Amino acid sequence: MSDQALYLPAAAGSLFILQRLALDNLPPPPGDAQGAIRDSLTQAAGAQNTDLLLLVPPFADEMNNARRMYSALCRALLEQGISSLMFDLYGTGDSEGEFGQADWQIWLDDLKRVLDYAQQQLGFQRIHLLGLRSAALLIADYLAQTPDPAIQQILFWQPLLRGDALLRQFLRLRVAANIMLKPENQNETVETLRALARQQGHIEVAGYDISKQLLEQLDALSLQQSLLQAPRIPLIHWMELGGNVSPATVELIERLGAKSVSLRFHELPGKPFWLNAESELDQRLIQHSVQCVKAALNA
Amino acid sequence: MSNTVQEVKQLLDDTLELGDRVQEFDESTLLLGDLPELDSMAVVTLVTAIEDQYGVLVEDDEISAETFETLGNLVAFVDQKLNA
Repeated sequence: MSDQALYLPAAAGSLFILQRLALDNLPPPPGDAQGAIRDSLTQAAGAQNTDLLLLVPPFADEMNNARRMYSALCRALLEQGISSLMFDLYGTGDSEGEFGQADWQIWLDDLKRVLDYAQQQLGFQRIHLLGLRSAALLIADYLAQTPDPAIQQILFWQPLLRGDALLRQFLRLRVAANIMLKPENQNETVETLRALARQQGHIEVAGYDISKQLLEQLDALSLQQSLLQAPRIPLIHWMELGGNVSPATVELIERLGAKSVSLRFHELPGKPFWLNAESELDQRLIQHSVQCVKAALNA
Repeated sequence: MSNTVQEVKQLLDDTLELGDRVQEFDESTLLLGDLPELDSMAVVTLVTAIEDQYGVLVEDDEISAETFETLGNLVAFVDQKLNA
């Protein structure tokens, strides 16, 4: 019952993985026939060992600020005998690569690789996905392209609906930084920065080098579009904090309902912990999420 | 008018986690450059929070040093957006 950190080879660069597996026996070392690993795990202590929560990281600083919450959820799950796995996308956190070299296709492939690893190398047949904020866009886009029957359900924490909103917030960081540090750049706006990125091939914001490619890919993302296109959507637990649910969110949820997507909406009191690296842990959200996973174990 | 002051104070508290200090703020309280918590990330967060709460759109040229200079300036800005 310990934290295990490892590097998983992936197309563009190895991915840092942190897994907390609730197993009495650790799986045999890799290199064994996949069948042997699967069999030994299904024989191990009980049904819970077939389920894993995979936490998908959000974008840039949102992940830095949310890492504590993700880890706290993993620990809470472990106390209930439920395994989980966190990872860093290419060019972020402890994974290989430079952020400036990252793009959406690489990140989609990263998610697929981690899912394959969880199923084929660790032997978990039932995967639950969790995504905070922009991670919802990655999960939804993945679902739009890959019907994956191993995915049991999805937990969204305050999902971000649109990539262009994400981008605007991100580019605004440079506008905001200008007012404090570089008055000579007063005329930079989100629009001019977009143009600058197209022209230069990349742009520097808040210490991140973001490629024109990634910028354009993010701009095009729509949670609605991805979810409505997906051939198969497992149960969604949509969790919102703080009470100010946007009309756009309400509308999307209604639209999903009209398409017979199974969705449970949870409105919880709470603060936007992803905005601040020093936020208090939101224990209510953690426990609520643990319950959602428990309720769907080997259902 | 005083409603907006209270609401903006609350937004500042929520965004910057100022705790009880925000209670002592008045319209002359200096923000940008004076509050260490108000870095560029916090400015963007605050702008987004204002947009979300009031359903308004903040233009890039409104994200200026003047808007964030004092609590009074920020409140006046929000009021102006609400009445636009």
